[in-house]
Amino acid sequence: MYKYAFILLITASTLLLSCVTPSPSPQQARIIKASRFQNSVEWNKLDGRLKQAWLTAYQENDLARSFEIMIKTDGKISDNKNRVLFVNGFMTRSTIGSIATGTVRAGDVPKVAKIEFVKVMELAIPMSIKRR
Amino acid sequence: MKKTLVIFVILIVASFVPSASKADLNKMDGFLRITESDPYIGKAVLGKAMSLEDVDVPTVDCLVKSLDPEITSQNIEEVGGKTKAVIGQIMSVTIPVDSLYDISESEEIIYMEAAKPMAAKMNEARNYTGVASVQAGTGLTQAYNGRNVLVGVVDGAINWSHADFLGSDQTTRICYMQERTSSGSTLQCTKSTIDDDSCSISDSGSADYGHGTHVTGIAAGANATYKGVAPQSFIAFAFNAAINADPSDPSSTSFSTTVLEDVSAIFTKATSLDMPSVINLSLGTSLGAHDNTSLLEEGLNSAVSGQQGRIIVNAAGNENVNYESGISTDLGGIHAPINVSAESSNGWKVAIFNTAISAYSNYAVADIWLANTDECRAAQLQVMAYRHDVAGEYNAANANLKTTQIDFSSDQTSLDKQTPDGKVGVDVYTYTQNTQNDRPNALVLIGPTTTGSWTDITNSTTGYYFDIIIRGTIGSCAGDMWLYPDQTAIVDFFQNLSPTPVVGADGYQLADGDSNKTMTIPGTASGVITVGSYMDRGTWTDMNGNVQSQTEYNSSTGGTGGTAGDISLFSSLGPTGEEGTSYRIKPDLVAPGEPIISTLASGSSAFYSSVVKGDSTHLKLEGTSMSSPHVAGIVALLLEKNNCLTTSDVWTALTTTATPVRVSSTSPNNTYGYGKVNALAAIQTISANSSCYSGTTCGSGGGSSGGCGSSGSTIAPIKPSLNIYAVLLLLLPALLISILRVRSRLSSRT
Repeated sequence: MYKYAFILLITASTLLLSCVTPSPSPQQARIIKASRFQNSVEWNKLDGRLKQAWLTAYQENDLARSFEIMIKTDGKISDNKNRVLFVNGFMTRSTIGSIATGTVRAGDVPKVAKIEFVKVMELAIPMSIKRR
Repeated sequence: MKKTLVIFVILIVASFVPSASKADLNKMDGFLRITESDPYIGKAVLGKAMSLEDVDVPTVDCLVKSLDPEITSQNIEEVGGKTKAVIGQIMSVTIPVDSLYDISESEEIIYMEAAKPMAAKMNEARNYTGVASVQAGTGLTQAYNGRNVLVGVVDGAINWSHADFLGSDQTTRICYMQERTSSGSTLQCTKSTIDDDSCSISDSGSADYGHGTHVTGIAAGANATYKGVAPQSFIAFAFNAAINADPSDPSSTSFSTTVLEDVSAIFTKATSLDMPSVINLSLGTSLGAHDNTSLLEEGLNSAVSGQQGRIIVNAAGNENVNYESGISTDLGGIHAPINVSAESSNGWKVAIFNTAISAYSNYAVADIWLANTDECRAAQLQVMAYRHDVAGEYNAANANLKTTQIDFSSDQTSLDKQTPDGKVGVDVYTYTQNTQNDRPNALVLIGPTTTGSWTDITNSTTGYYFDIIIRGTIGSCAGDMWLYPDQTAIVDFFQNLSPTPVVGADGYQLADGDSNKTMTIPGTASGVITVGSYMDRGTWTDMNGNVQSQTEYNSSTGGTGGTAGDISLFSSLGPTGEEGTSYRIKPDLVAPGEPIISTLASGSSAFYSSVVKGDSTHLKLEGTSMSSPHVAGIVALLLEKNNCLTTSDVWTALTTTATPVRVSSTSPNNTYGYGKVNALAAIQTISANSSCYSGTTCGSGGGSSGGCGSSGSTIAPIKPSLNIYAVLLLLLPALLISILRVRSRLSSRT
């Protein structure tokens, strides 16, 4: 009985930690090989500008850099999907249908890209006003 | 009243002035006759439209109708006068008083009238668009002024306490306002916090000469003189701390992401108020494929798709290089059409000629999108940089920097390429495909290194320009390339270069840039109504009572003028950027975009006193930023009549009733779209229906009394509910351990 209690204690602690800290530290994420990510299927979920921004952050060893991005998923974004995104490092700010806006650290980009329901990741586009 | 009486008496007296011998005086209005006979009385009547003191020869501003404006202009110049603007047969001129009769005697003159010291204002544009008739109910069963419609504006900042945003009860019509700060937090205010002056959002609205305030005034301002299009509508306003965003600057917040969030927040507010809503976006970007596939376009389409009473209107953009031809006719715009043959290369020359680029980005970007073909995936990309002072610059061998030729067939990168002086960096990235549209995409980033500055690039003798070269290998390849920042006054392709060949081992054929497909994103979205700009009139009157010419103003600010009634020279052109022939016509229509006088933010200082109106609370601006809220306001009028309209319904009503303007005998076209908006005709095509929404007030105010609150987005930042389960799991073992201890104690007792 004590054995089960101990297992439960460890499980709960791990789960709690995973919620408080949504992702490994950027330096932990650094162990991801850029070439491995670039050759993966997930790499093509990124738009060109996010690929460029991620490569730059990787080469500058700055995986803590935060990116403003939009992601497109395979359908309406439920609370469960949002939890999965959060655990993998995507901080959702808003959703419209299948699209979510938010931030992600460079070190977490590969993890978010690996989520099956994530189909597209696009770096935010700067907007300017149209007064002549 | 007294002044009016004096003028009336003077006019009566003037009608008896014994001047019958001068038959052509009849070509002059009463004011000019008075002025011609007695300049001092004329001055008393015409005020600052007439120069009298401190001048050698008194002059008077007037409008002249002439059968031959060219001859009239020559005649006026010969007597020391000046022609300011010509609109068909109507001329805005300054004439020496002692030459008035001589000029009027000319055969080609039909009529002359003095410039009156009355203000040109928003109601000018409202007349051109038929809005004044709709507001008055002319030709309709009732007047429409936007009642019970929420007009949303996503922009820079707003002077929310401005009197133009008050209702007839002198309380604010702003139901909701939110600001995303540079720290990423969101401030919110409601009607109640605005009315009791506890709103914590800055009230200056000073960003970019009060752009957000001006735009909101056009769509929904309620000033008696400078009335907006929907002056009785409710207002929702969302903005971001920095309006010219740099994605590498964390304090910048105006991104495609935040725009989508703002739209979501306003529509959510409209739903809670049970109101129809139209949102104006006077912003955009040139980054992207322009083919309805960016997530911003998709998100906005999703926000309105099939929705009743949910409409988005967007400015077409000011990226037509025609406006810059006063700087150089060799500037070719921010777009380049790509069409290379097999085993041949084309190059497009890029100039970055204004250090103002630093306000937008650390890089100038060329965003290249090719067709989804194997031939395009096999195409190659290369960049060369030339020093301005290098002789024989068109010889590729003289290139100051050559990047490695890389192709689109795999994701590659060529980083840290620098000019020999180490001051300029060029990065080239190619990508196999974009997931959204399967098209090969490439980015060329040009900017100063840490040891350089933009001056090192823009200097006209020691700076650089850049050739972006695409080579067809196994077959021909087509596509498009856009430059960022989307500012033709800062960065452009060249034109007039063909067919100059570039010789050398890397020889290529130079090709021209143009201004086609310069509709900025999200104006390219299929679910967004996109609005270009035309010059509705040629003059306005400034705060000093001087008549100003918009054409002259444009010229003095680097432009080439423009003609009243025509498309604004800056107005971006369509079509959209889909491959082959699947593109769509854009803009959808055009509306007055210059010169537009609207609300001046209290915290803003105008760049010239000549653009400020007499009451010092309104100013003149121009841009598709100004034409877009005209249409947004008109949509509010339509939604007041029928709050069940969808985007498709509104689009049909607006485009089928717009006054067509042909280009090369074709309408619709990619300059004017379906033509000039006609609010009266549009509202006459729709039937009344108010069954979809019933909200009539801003509500009780809600929100926090201090004006701050959490995000207004559809879904607030996620709070990990897993924590709850985890805590429960943590407690469970403790419970089990307690049970076990109790059991063991009990068993030991027994």
